[in-house]
Amino acid sequence: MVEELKILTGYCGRYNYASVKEYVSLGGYQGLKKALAMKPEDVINEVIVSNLMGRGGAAYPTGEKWDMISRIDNDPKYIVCNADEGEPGTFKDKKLIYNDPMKIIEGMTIAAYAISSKKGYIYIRGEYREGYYRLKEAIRSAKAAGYLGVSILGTTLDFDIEVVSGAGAYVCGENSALCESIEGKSGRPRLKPPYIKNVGIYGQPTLVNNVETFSCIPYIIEKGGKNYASIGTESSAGTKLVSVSGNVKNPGVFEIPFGVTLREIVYGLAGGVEDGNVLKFVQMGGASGACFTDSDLDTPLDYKALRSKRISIGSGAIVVADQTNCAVDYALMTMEFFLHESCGKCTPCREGNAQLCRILKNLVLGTANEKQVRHLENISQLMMKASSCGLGKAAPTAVLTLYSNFKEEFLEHVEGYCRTGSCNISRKKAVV
Amino acid sequence: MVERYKLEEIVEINGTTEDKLLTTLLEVQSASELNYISQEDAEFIAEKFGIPLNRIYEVISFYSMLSMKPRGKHIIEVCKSSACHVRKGKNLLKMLEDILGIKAGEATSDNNFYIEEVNCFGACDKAPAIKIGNDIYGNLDRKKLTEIINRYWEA
Ligand SMILES: Cc1cc2nc3c(=O)[nH]c(=O)nc-3n(C[C@H](O)[C@H](O)[C@H](O)COP(=O)(O)O)c2cc1C
Ligand code: SF4
Ligand code: FES
Repeated sequence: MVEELKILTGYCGRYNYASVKEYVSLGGYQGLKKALAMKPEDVINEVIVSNLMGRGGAAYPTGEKWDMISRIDNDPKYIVCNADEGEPGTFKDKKLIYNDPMKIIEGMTIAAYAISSKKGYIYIRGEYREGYYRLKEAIRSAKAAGYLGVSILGTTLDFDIEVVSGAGAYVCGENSALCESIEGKSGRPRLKPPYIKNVGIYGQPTLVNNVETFSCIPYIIEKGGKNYASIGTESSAGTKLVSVSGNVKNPGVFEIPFGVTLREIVYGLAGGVEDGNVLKFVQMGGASGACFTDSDLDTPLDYKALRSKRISIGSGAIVVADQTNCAVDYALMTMEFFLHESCGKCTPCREGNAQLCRILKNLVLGTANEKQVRHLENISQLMMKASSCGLGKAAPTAVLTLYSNFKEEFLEHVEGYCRTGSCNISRKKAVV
Repeated sequence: MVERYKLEEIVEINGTTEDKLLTTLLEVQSASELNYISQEDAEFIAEKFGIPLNRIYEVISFYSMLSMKPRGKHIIEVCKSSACHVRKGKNLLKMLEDILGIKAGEATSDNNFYIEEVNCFGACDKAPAIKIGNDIYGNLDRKKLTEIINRYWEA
């Protein structure tokens, strides 16, 4: 049976989240101490060598991002930890925020040293109110112990972190919307370019990384980029947190080295499908992720292997749906999410979400025709091509993948029939 | 409306830089009896932050946790996202509506409870989940749900 490898979550639950002393006694802050004795460019080089990819969804190489920002000659530079965690089915950053906030702070401080920044923000979703207060408390103690503030650990590094709360808007996880929101505005994505690394918060260069990404940094610096790169697979270094939920016996956050198969995650760690039911599909990466069936479960958790199946790891959410669920109803639920969360700025996303919702709604009411069903694909393609930010581009993914896997089931709804009887048709009518 | 000293205290603790606007709005809202930001409170915040009132309203209407309308003493948020959906969150909502005799988006006649359907709040491992204030309750059936509601009746 597959086991977890806890190089990232090893301290979770083992220290009081606000105690620097306990964190240090477990081995915390070794990464920062080592980094401060290195040259900033060597710190960045370790991150490049580690082959760490951003864990917020886009899987952008972290070292490369740091390198680019470090070369921009424009002060001040800001560092933002993206703790917006809005993808439905994702709760892995929450685990780190609530149980090991010092590691996030340490990772951000190492980044501050590497790219030469004096000010960081942690942008946390409004729903994690308790996490907001915990982070503030952890920062206060880190400051009191000389790990944040002026001349950190007696060096010339000055760095401070503020916690900023969101207030319920999924789109604010997008990095330019995040900057808007930190400035106390509505979180509508900006037109790009310019990119956030050049023009971010208050028009200044800004480094945005995910909670999990920052939390990987102390280990990488302490043990070396090579060591980190040796864990996992050739194309995907290190470990990954996955949040497994839905119709499984043992939902939760698991830390596993890349290379473990999805089947081992769903059936091993998460205990398989509950109540003796059968797996119907899995959605990976949150609402914006692909839905696929049992036949893809032997794919390893690996950026490249999954990409070849057109699956993206995204936020690392894995939601399992058993055979009692209606594929059309699930697609509708997903599209209603995007309809609600779209910022409404550009037409393909605003109108596309509404159109897809309308068709799917008609399907679960049994009033759609075949022509409308065919439109699902056209509208989706248009949204993917013409939407201005990642929200609209990814919104139709679930619809498209569910439609391609369960075409027959979609067409049955045109006939006024649902094989599961769980959507609004709610009754298995005989096919007329 | 929130009492003046309380408003002053929230502003005092958070400061009035723009990055603290959302947290201030959230805290003012939860200090209010019926979980909303009244016009007087919005005016107070606008003045303290030195930003126009219409921008405060724009922000309140953009973020779904903020409300300009009075809601209820306890907001019961019911998750309708993926994990809760496949673990039959819709049935949970129906039970709740049944127990309280109101629909989502409504308050009980004594304003003690208000039901709101929301997106994932990160309690997916306890699906189907609800959130009342900052407290999360999961893996619910009718019996557990009734017990929880009763606790808030008494409180
Ligand atoms: C609509 C949308 C929502 C996003 N939400 C999040 C989020 O909640 N958390 C996150 O870390 N990244 C999110 N991202 C990705 C960020 O824009 C950004 O790529 C990421 O925070 C960079 O950090 P990383 O390189 O460490 O992954 C989102 C992107 C889009 C388009
Ligand atoms: S794609 Fe959607 S969320 Fe993104 S800018 Fe356009 S309307 Fe807003
Ligand atoms: S899906 Fe319901 S709390 Fe996450």
